[in-house]
Amino acid sequence: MALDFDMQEKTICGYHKRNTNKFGILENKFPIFQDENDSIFLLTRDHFFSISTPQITSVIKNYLRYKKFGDIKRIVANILVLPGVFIALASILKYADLLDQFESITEILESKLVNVLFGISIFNVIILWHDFYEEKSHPIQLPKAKKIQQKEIDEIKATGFKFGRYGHLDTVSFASEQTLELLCNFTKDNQFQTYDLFKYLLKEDYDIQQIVRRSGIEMSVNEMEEKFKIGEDVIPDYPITALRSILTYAIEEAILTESRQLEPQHIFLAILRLYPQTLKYIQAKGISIDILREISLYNNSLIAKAQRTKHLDPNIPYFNKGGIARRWIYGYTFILGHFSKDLTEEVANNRDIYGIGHDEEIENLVSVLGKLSNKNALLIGEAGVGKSSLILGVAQRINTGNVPIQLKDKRIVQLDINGLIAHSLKMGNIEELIMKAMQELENSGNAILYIDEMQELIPAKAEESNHSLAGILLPYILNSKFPIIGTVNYSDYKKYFYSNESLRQSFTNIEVKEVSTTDTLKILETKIATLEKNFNCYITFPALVASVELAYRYIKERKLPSSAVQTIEATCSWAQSNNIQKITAEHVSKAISIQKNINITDIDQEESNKLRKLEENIRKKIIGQDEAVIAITESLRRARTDIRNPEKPIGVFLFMGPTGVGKTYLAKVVGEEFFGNKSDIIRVDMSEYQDIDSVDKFLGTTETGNVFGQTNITLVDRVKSNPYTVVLFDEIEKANPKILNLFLQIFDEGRLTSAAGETVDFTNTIIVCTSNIGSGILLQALEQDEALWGEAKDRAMIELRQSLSPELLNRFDRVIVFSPLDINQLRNVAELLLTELKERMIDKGINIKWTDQIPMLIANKANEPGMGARPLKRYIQDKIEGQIAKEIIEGNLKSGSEIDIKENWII
Amino acid sequence: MEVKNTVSDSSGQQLLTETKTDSYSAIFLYFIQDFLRWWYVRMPIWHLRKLARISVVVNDNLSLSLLVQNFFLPWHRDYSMMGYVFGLLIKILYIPIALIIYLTSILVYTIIILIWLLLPIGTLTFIFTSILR
Repeated sequence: MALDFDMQEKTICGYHKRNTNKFGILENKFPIFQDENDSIFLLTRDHFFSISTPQITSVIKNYLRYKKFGDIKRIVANILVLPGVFIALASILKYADLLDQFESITEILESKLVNVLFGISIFNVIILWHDFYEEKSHPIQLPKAKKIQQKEIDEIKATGFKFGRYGHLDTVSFASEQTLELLCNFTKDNQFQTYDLFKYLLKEDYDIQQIVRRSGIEMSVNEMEEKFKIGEDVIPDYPITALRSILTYAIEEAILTESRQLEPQHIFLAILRLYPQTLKYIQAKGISIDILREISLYNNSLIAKAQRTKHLDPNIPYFNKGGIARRWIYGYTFILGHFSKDLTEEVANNRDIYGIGHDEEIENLVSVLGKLSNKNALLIGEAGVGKSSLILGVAQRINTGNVPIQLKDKRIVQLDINGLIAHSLKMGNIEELIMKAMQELENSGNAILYIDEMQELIPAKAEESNHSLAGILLPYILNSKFPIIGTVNYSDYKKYFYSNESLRQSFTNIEVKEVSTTDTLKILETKIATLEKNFNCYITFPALVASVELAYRYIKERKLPSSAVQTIEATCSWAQSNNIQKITAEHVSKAISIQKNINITDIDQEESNKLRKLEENIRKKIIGQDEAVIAITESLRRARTDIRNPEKPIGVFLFMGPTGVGKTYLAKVVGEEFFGNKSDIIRVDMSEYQDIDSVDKFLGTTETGNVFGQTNITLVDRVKSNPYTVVLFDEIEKANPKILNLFLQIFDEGRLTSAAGETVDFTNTIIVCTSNIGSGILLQALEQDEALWGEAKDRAMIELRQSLSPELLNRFDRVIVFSPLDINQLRNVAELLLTELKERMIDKGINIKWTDQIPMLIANKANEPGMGARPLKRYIQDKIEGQIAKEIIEGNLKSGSEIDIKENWII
Repeated sequence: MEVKNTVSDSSGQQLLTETKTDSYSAIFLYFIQDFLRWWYVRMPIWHLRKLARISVVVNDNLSLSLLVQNFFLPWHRDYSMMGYVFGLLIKILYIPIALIIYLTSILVYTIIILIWLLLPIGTLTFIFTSILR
């Protein structure tokens, strides 16, 4: 699933043609308006940005003059400050009586000139102060853009722009000094030198170099010019009027990346997306404009994060926290402190951001905790969705003071159940211990109790009274004297809470869903600094994006963001042990490939050759079934190049036909050729699942065991441990209809929910089903007349449609009837079997040879119509292997010798 | 009703060659206007905002308002005689000290604002009186 960087629908680029008085929206088009009668503007939800040619010309004409004046002013002021410094120093020395010997200096210090110089010096300090602090005290800041609602966009399209409802801002006023200077320096003779600016930015701008470095690619002007033919004809010079368009697109980039000002990097990004050739260049490098923007956004977030701690800056919001004496008005929690930890304090000591992607849930939780009654909350969600992070997010908000007044100064105390039990062994009665701790909590007035994995309280019992811990805590939960937050997953909620009315009623349930891929990326961004420090590596952004996408696709047993975090950590760890410093998307693919035992790395030359010759290689081993071989190899190629639908199995096939023609053998050969090992295919004999009870066996219930009391390894276990394989369901018509219904889910969605509630992923498997339906009809046709084969096939298909439900049949990618083998094909099969025998004998040091007639002789002798290749196997086993064994036993054949297969062995 | 098109109003549009370049004297005048506007209009407002922020931050960090609001609450919510007495005693000792710090910080910053306003005028006065003396 491609990542959505969540940058759409925050801005609208519009234009106006004065000649026709026509307004319009520029959707996915980036024209450069050179005609003075055409205008361009940018709309956000609350503002619109415009730019005019006089503004630009004013900048170009005057900016450098103002800058030069400023530089001269600064130099002069610095020079004029110096006398004041010396005078001040001398005055200090004079008052310290250190200049008594230097009467001339003391006389000069009392003169009028010195006073005047000192006064001028002070005045120049004031001028320098203004120069230095003007921007710091009143920083120019682009407003943050929120998403524009679709209905607003529709309204604009229907009724036009209503500029009155937006605040009007001038684009030029947000341009930084570097941007203005670049505009001046790259405008010559009324022409803006776009390509020269582009080259300059790529070579010289530090921010752009940082962005390019983080993207994991190298961009060079030489490569662009030579390989991609990007030059002045692609990025031409423009008249000044065209700068309106370029700067409008640039400020759009600045807004999307939440920058404070319009910086040179935004002009660079704008130029990259304006021209198809430049876009193609970065796509060829494996990145997109969205990734470059996201990197810029990340860099800006680091700057914003640093500023968050400036409490005295009136431009930054401040929330009351309570101060040094805030704990005086709340009670002690001595006993509780032995088996709990204060999360608010823990969170205050580190600078990570928690609760990303759970804003709605945090708001819900804060509102529940702030209620007067029934202020308990139960967070329900799968493992790894971020329930704990959500709680830490609330703790962080309490620390910063960004909570309603009822939650100010509160602290979140996490109960450690194991610590409680351990402590009770020392202190004695656990029930008494809990009561004392709860009384402390009630008395403290500022504690919120947090119990992680709340279901663990229910089976845990107090030794003395045999009451469960949940039962002991229940009165406190019901009384709601202090808020309690619990976390639990869906299956445990259903098992323990749903049936218990009083428990259920005393909590407000808050469902915690899996975080989106966009928010997961943001979470990973917050971990970059820590990971780079711990693993001594450099993480590129494509690696982060790959972690999110591949974790979402391949790690189904854990949810986002936990799966993505584990993926990037595993990659960093793997990279560290392989001395890799720079982590790219390829490394993430490699780490997942190793972890999940699947191959998702880019196709290299060797593998490309293997994929091209796949059909040929399989045909060498499977004789005469071209339709089946082509169908399977096409699905494998689609899988490996990632073109297929990732939400379904790689391919789902049904093979029918007479016995011994290669249905099962094809599955084995595919397993060997593509997945690497013949024996790794998962073979399920559906005749074992005929009765209704076998559904449990199929879904992997833990009660199934063999006579020795060992738990059987089920299909579910085998697919979980080897998800990239061929799964062969033999004789599916024998399975119970309820099991065939499970196939609907497997074939359509590539997943199966096991008895334990786990989702088993089949999306990386090839599923091959075999069936004997219609085999009687096909065998009869072969016995009577092979010319009747075509008609027999049709009748077999009719019988198939009558035997299996239409919805199941409809889910097969292909239903293939395997053809009987003719005598030439049987000859080839005999040749193959002899070659296999030869390879086995080479291991023993014996070389077998045969003439060209031998395979045909075997085919003729062993052929049984309708029985396929199996008679040949039996024949070779009896006649040839038997004879060789006899020779070995008689001592006529030793290691290093050769033997010819004789015709008389066969005839 | 004709609505003025702020986006592409043709009034005032000039070609590059027709745009006039500001002279250095115009730039100098602009600098003086900008300086005076910054020093006597924008910065005093900023200083007042900063003063308000300082009062909030100092009050919050010293827990002054919090302790005043909970003046009669016993020490760590110990509802015994000792708790009440100790709580009152600590607050009676602490609150005046915190108040002094609070008022001092406000006073200091107010003086800074006054100095700010007087500094350019004072400096110029000092220069002129030195010349004339």
